[in-house]
Amino acid sequence: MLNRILDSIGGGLISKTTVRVRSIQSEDGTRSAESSEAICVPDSSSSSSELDSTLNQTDMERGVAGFAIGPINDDNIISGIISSYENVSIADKSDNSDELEERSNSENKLLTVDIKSFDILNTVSCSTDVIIAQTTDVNDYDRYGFRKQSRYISKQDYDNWCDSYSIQCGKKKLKWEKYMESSGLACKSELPTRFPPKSEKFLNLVREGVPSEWRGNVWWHLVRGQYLLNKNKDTYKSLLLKVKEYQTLGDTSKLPEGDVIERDLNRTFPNNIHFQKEPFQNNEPKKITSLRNILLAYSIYNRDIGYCQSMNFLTGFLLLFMNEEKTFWMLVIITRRFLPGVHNLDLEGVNIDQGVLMLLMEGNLPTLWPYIEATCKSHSNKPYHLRRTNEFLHALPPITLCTASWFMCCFIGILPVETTLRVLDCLFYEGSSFLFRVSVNLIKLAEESILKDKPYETLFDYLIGSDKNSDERAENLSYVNADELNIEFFQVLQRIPRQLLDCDNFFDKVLFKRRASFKRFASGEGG
Amino acid sequence: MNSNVASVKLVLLGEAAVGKSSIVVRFVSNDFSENKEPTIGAAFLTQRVNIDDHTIKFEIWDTAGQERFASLAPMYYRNAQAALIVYDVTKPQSFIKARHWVKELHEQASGDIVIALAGNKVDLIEENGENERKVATEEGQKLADEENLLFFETSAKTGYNVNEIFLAVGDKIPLKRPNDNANENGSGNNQNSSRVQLTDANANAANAGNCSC
Repeated sequence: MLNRILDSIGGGLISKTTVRVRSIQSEDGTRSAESSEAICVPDSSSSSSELDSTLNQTDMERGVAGFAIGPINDDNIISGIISSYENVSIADKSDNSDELEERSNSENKLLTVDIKSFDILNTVSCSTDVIIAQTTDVNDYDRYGFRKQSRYISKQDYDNWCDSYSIQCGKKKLKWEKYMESSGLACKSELPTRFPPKSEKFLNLVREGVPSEWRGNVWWHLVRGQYLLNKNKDTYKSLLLKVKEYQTLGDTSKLPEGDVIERDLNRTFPNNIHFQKEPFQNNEPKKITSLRNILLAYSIYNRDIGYCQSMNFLTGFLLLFMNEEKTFWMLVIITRRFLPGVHNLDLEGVNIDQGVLMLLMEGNLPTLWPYIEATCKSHSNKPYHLRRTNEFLHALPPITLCTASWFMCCFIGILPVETTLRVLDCLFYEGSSFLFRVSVNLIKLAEESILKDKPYETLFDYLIGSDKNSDERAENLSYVNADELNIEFFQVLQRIPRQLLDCDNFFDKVLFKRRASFKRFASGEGG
Repeated sequence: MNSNVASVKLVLLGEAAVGKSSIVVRFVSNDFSENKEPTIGAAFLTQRVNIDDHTIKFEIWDTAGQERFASLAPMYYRNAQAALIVYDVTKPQSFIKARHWVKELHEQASGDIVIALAGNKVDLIEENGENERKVATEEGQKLADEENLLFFETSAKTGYNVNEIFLAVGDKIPLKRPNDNANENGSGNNQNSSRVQLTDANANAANAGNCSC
């Protein structure tokens, strides 16, 4: 029930209804400031000067305009936020304070409630469907600016999980610092930019999760981004100049993807404060400007790809961790090295990757496979791997429409934020084989979820009939409407990844549990 | 429970950002988001609607709109009984794209597919005046008449004509009840009962609330 209510609030929040709620009074404000500090700096021994400059910068950008919109007058909150980022200048606050104050006051007149009545208000507003309240409470957003609550995860679940995860992160960071020290690399005084060469120890640390404020630098190191950037020192700048030139000439034929890109800018992370324009702001958010720059520059840099939807998510997400130029080169590296051909005009790489994934499913998910295969529009009776070469490329089962998006977005927007970050850590270390590992395990979880329900168990017995020979099985399959089962499975596949909030559990208990069985394909895949 | 449940596979087609996902979300959850994230690959949603004495379960494939994803489309429309082609009344290019989809469906999809045409975002015209309109209602109607399509102008934002267009599709489909075939064949009974349970579980999981229509 709570989830249901929270869901409907979530919808209302995105649709930007006009009523705002000042939801915090000072007592709660103090508490919220403390907890936000704990999230921001999970390791209590580290000083805030160690925080990623990108994070500092982004919070400076949004310090007033974003996090503190509603509660700007609540000194407890604002000082709480600021105290967790020593570098944040409060000059921004005075710049906008008149405007904000005015707005805040008018909001106050509209509606001022405390947290308890806020809950009631939401319940009421959902059932009457008249007003859905919007709040810009700092507690509603995670440290990256994403709304904590989603259709599948309640804010309460998020906060409960985050409390213990933050402690884990603190412990992990200590390990990282120790490792850095033992490798002779300083990391106490400033944000590290140099890291040890790859090793088993390093891999294990990456698999446990990179400290979030180090992420941009660690990723950049792992993909050897600086090497590429040094080789192409002025490329990005000159691409931007070219884009400018085409724009001033008004020559749309030179920027054929311009319209599509423009339409997708505001559709990229509408639930993230860094990408969301507040009604009182005149300028678009800086992240949106960078997003446009990168996508346009890329569209003329690589004409084979141009712009493919999903690149907006990749770019936007990376922009939360590194600057514009580095993000551009990360996008080049992802589309060239990790997902070659996937975003191409003909989506050739998608078909290849999904074909490979289906082959892996045949090997790894024997229970499930006959049922997937039955929905495959190929009528060959041979086992999948013995069919005519590449036949599967023309006969992919419909679930690949779901799994394709996993690859195209590298799970951004599909897994919860922190889980996505952990996947990216490993992707950048281990290469694209890791995406297959995650995918196969998600499919396995979906299978478990389906088999758990009694009716399906019966259905599966009926469908697969382990004691029957293959002819009988084929006959049985024709009786069952495999399409319907497939659709059911598709829905579970849509849902399962979005619920995986507990990334430690997913990584420790699912991804790396059966190390041996994955060696086979992990070793076959390069980086 | 109602045993007369008929499934209708419906596919949404149309240019990027015309509001395909928003129409589905309005129909399924009666909800709307101003900036809806683009659909990558495809999304699948279901909604049940009661009409007279029977229930139609819409199984909706919501597809990605960008041109390069079009090559994946045959995967969904191959078995579809209905298609909803969406354009944006403020974007002439999207109407040209809609014409292409009509042509492709007539050539490639099953012969008796029911096609509906939706001119979406009419709220923008109410809000900003007739100047905003770039595709006349008559143009949409003309295409619909020529090609034998259902036609509605819609707004996912206000909900205008959204339920109506799905109901019209439901009305026009020659309904085949899922148990029609099974009843002819005694051995099919067992299978039929599992399927009924299946659809029920499915509806509960997929839909937060029932359609109000």
